[in-house]
Amino acid sequence: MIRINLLPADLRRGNRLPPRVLAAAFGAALAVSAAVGWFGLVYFGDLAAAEDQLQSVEAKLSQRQPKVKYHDDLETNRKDYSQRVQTIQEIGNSRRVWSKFLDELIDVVNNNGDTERHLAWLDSVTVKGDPKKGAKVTIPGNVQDADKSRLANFHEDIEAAAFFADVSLKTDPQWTLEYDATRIPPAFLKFPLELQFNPSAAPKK
Amino acid sequence: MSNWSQKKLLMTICGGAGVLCAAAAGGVYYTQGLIDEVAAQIATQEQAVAAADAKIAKIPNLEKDVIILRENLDEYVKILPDNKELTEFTRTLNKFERQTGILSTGLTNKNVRPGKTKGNFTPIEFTYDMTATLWQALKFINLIENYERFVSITDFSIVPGGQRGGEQQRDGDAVHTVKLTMQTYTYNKAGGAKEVTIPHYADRKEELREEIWNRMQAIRIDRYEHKGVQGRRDILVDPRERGGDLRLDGLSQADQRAILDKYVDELKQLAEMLKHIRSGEATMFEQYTLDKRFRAELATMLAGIEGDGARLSYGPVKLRWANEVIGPLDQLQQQLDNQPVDEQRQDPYLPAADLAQLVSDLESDCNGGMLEQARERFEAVAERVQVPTGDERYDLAVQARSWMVKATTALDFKGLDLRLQGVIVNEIGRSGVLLNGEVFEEGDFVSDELLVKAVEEEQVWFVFRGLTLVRTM
Repeated sequence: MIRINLLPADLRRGNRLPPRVLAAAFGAALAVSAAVGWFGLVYFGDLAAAEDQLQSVEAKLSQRQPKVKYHDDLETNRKDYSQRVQTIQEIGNSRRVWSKFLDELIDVVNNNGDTERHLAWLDSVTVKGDPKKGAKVTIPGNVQDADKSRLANFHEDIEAAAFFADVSLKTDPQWTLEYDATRIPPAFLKFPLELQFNPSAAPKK
Repeated sequence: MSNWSQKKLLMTICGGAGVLCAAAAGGVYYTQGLIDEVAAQIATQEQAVAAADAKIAKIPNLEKDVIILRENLDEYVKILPDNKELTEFTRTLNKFERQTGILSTGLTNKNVRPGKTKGNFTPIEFTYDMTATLWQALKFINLIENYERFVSITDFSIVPGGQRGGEQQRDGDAVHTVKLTMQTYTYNKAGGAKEVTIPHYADRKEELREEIWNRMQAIRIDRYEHKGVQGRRDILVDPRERGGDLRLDGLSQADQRAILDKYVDELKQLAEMLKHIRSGEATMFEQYTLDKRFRAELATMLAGIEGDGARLSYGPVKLRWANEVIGPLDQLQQQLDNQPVDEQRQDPYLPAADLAQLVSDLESDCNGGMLEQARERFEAVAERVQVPTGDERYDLAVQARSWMVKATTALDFKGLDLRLQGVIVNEIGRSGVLLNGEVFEEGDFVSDELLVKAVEEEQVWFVFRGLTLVRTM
């Protein structure tokens, strides 16, 4: 007996896809779908969300830019003004009021008219300003009589004067005995005297 | 493909799926990298936003600082001259010269090294030569230092003696040669950062007015008011007495000291007197007597002080004169003029006890013949005896005034020119008196105010202004 299989070729048992192939194909399709889906989620989800967030932050920042620039300009102005103000203050503070010094020096030399303690007079007054080292005052002078204690008294009075608080260096007492026959008494002690003042707050370069 | 074996088919499917899955995983990995990059950018931008927010938060304070600094700077730079004012400064120096009496001999502009320029501030230096007395030079320096624009005297020298062949004395003081170096700065506003426009600037400035003023105090250019000569001597002149042929006319130093000491002693006494008057230890009458004496002695001293002061020429004595006589005398006068408020009298009249004492003293003075003292005693408190009628002290005041009238009348009577030249005493009739060459009988008027009341052998009784008084032969 002859059996004739009349089923189409692809339905014939011998030509049908085996279930294992089908299962594998199905599994492969599933895995590929899952992988592509995951990629899609990450690419179109997370990345897009991040880019949106970035845009939002950039928008915030650009919105603040004019005010930031305003701040920066103000800060530049502040620094510039502060520097100028500081310079003016330094210029102002660098000045020493010499009329005050001279008044005080005159008081010391006059000594309230007390001629017993000392009777002094100066040969000259010279002030040489130096912003770095401080002003140097040169006041060579004389005290009446040959009594050296009067010269010491004069030095003591110089040291007690208000201006001396700002003096960093003073020459020590030294003298030469001299005579002037046209004066009473003729003897007097001639002395050199230099005062080195502390530097004032000089303007910075 | 239909010929493929099952195994080949399975491998192809699995292989294809594997490749696709791997590609997807690679894509995820790559995307994750992009996400990380974006996240990093976000973090950076967020930091920038945070920094921007922090800056924005600082804007109000910064605006405040800038407004204050800008306003202060505008004020500060006013202390520095601009180029136009430098020319004006020459006129100012000329004005100072006239005010002080110095004589300038030159003004030179010193070259300033470019390195000394400080940003917007350019230094300018002048050297000013002059002849001046010490006091003129000191006043000139002081005027410059107190000038509204900042000028610093950096160097100066004062050397005794004027220029060769020039004057030796000016206003009685020695002339010296003076050289000053003055420095100032000019301010160039341009060159700094562009000024930012702050919204509502005027309103903000008004709000910050107090703070602007407070910060303005941070820059304070030291100024000093020169106290003047005050009797001090020129420290560049030898104060010793000239001897021999060079001796100057006038009092010796010893004589000048004697005058000074005399006034110092008198002043001490006056000061003690005033202290005693004000102490409250003296009785009311003592106070008034002392007060009167004090004023009289003060007036005497004031009258003599000018002449005696002019005779003093020795510097140390002149200074002591200024410090120990003129100054304390002014103080005494001020103390006299400015009586403390608590000492000012609330009650314009003498207290009852003092009035009673006054009456008693006046009575004692009058009865003791001390009429002048009685009058002085009353006159010292005359204003305070004018007690009104309703006051309980009125009777005492009337008694005091009565004694005063008696004393005054008696004194006036004493002063009358009454020369008693003889008397005729009549026991049974009217007696008579030879007065100033005329005979007056008892009951006769010598003048409108003077009546002969009774004539006795040794004395004649008169009625003068209602008061019976006796004049002895």
